[in-house]
Amino acid sequence: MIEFSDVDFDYPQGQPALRDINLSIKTGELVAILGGNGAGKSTLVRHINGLLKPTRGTVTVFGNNTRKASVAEISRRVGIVFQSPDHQLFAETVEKEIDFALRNFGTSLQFRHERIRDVLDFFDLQKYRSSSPLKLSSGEKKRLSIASIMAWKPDILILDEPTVGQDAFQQDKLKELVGLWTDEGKTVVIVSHDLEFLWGLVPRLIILSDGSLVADGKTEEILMKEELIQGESLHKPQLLDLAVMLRGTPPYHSFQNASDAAKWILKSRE
Amino acid sequence: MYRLAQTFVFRRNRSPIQRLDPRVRLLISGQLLILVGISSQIHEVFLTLTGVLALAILAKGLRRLANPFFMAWLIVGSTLIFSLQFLLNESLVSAVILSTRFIAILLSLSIFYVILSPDEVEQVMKSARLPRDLVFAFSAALRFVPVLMLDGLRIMDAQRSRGLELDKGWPSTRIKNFIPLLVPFIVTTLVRSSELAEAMEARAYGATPNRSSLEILRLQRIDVLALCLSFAIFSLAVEFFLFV
Ligand SMILES: Nc1ncnc2c1ncn2[C@@H]1O[C@H](COP(=O)(O)OP(=O)(O)OP(=O)(O)O)[C@@H](O)[C@H]1O
Ligand SMILES: [Mg+2]
Repeated sequence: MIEFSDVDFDYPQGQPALRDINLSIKTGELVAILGGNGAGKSTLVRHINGLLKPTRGTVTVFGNNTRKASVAEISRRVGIVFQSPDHQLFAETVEKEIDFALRNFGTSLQFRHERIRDVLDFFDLQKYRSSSPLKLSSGEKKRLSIASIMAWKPDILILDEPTVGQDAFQQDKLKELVGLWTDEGKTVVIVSHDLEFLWGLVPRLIILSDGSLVADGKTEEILMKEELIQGESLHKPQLLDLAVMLRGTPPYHSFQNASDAAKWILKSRE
Repeated sequence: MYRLAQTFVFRRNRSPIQRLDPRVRLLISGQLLILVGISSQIHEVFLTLTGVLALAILAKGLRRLANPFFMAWLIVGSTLIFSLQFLLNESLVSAVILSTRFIAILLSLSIFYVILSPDEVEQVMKSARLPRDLVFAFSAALRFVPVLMLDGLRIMDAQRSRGLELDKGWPSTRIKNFIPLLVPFIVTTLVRSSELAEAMEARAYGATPNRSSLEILRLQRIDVLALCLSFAIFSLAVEFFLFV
């Protein structure tokens, strides 16, 4: 459970970065945060594990005010995968990189071995186990950074721009991961510009613009708002564009995913 | 960390100092640094410190120097020096002198960032006909100080989110705790500089022996005036410090 109430945040001597954010994300929910460059997405996400504390208002995570707990305590339950893997990779081997957080959190040896094996398998990194993380390609580094967070099974998983630099296969893998996580009743927050990736995966979208929350609702409903989508410099999924071109404004609210849209397009030909 | 970085980001303003020719500004801050170097008596140190502060006020940069994070470092550093000196020499005066000199040195170095932008440093060095590559490397390094500080901040965020606790444990573990910060910092810095080098080459850096400049520096009357004034004060101070 994540709760923002009346949150403002200003960077010291900078522009106000967040304004009047009211937001509540329930346990087990899967949501995406969208917005143009500099909208404040990463700033918002840094509030969830207490790296940043609000200038005004409060952020509570599982009922605890983030002001009152250390980042390490909150991070035990909130895992954030940041935008740039270069800012975290440091260990001699891929294996040790994953182990870093497990050791910090004092998990048992057996759990550590198990989790390292699992995430290496899942992300197809087993072959790099004992090589240096710095030698991986940038897509592989990104995957390793996700693996190193997933390893300790945080209750809330936050992914900042996870699709950047990932090929189609890895994007599907990422969707699978998100599915696995939500099946276990865990919360997932994805920060992304990539509506193509989010559509059919994420049921709720939150749109930030210039530090303010401008939309929050069901994906189908938000996709219907042409002006909003364009105004926030986002691209609608191409299939939806195609549907509009072929048949005019479609009943978006009944489109959960690509196959719904495809069926609707096909129906027009009957 | 980010706040600390703010002290070292150049901001253009319309202060009397910033309207002077950059060469004059460089000379003035150089003179101050020399004065800090040669002041040995307690009143001398305080006089130079006053000079540094006066320059900061004239450059409308006092607020930036008074940045609480920068101040915190200054105070920690000078207290450390003060107590070390006091314990070793058991002389209150020399402890005061040494720690205020430390403050004066740091302040006069950072005022450099308040009154000169990296571009202007580059211009000045170029007009002194220094080797081009040296000029470029120097100004690039200056420009990257705040960027690197932001990198440092991001790295701290990432590692703290993975349970790293910097202010916990025995001194030995604390030192070990710096490895997860240091390694990514060095790596990103190296990557950044090699990317910069490639990007510069891709834009034909070094293709012609002499790069042309967009702006040519010319001394105005006010610059000459400021120059004379600062030299007058400087030589008076030198005479006073060294021979009186
Ligand atoms: N450490 C910082 N100090 C000062 N200002 C910052 C800092 N980090 C970000 N900002 C500013 O805050 C605003 C929001 O930045 P943020 O990184 O949250 O945007 P974002 O939505 O994540 O953008 P992007 O899509 O580019 O990642 C921007 O205007 C940015 O310049
Ligand atoms: Mg961001």
